[in-house]
Amino acid sequence: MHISEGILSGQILGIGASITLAGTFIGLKDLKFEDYPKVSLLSSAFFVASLIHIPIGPTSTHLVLNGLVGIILGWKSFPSILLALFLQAILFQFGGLTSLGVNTANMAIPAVISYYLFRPFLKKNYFFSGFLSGFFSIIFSCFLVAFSLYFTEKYFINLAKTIFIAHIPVSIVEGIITGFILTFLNKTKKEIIWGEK
Amino acid sequence: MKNEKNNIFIFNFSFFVFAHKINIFSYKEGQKIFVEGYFSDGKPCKNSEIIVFDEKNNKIIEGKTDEQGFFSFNIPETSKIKIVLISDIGHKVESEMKLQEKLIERKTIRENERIEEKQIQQNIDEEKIREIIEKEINKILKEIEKERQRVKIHEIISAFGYILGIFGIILYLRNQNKK
Repeated sequence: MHISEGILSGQILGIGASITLAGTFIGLKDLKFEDYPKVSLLSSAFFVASLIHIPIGPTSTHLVLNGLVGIILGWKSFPSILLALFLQAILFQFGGLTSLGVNTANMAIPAVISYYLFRPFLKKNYFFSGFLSGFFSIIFSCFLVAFSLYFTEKYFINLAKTIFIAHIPVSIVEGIITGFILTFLNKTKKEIIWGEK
Repeated sequence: MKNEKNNIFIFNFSFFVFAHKINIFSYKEGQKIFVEGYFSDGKPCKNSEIIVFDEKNNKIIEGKTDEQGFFSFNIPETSKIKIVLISDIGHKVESEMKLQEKLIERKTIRENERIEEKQIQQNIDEEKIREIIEKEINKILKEIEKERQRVKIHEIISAFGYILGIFGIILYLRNQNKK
């Protein structure tokens, strides 16, 4: 889901970069001393997830884990995802530096939304709210990717369809994995989810 | 003159990559140019759009890769081409290739060579050998390039270090400001 350099128009790149800048600012303001290890840990998880490839149809895609990052970090997802994507762009040429803003916004906006939508239900059922968070974050990211490409491609419906179909299996896998990780963290290291008490 | 001829048949390939990551590998073999598109895990880029531009950036050839991610076309009459591979979901990669001397020039040289009958024989053999070597080297280079593009474990581990380091620096700077 990383959009390459040289595909999007300047306007979209600008909008993406501004959203990312604003989000990162809010995220960094929200960042407390005890959050640092947690944010770095989730940054690393997000970074590695993109390297696990799942071949689907004509294309090949990968885990994203923005649902997991989002439900735990909230606004802090912005700096966390920005750093991971920056390193992926530099080390592996995934995405690109000019499209970094758009790519971060596409991943981090759904993460922040799932924080507000699903975190309130987390205590009731860890697995299920984790699943929903993982599932909907990917679907919503797909929508944002299709939306960003729309301004250059102009055949939104077809494009959106291709992207959704390619990502439905991933979003299910992602939901299950996010669910398991949250259940596991709840049993072993609650403070990662809820912070030190 | 011999040097000139050598230049024409000099081994020619190019790769230039940026994407998440589809890669492109293009090479000349005989009278054709072969293009192969593949993802960073080595899976082929099936049914993806290929556009070839000439030196003046005019679109000259358009097509789609097959099930194995391959596409081939006859060498066009231009000195430089740019091959663009676009896969769905915003993946794009470019490869530039210099075609040095054109086919026409090759013909003139051949005509000149007729003066020395003996040398022709020698050159034709050389030509064939060159083509065979070219073919074999292309295969090896493709493997090397695929290996080079593969994500290495030490790069992943170093990224963890960067992440910790960068958040460490942010934390340090913030604490400094508070003091």
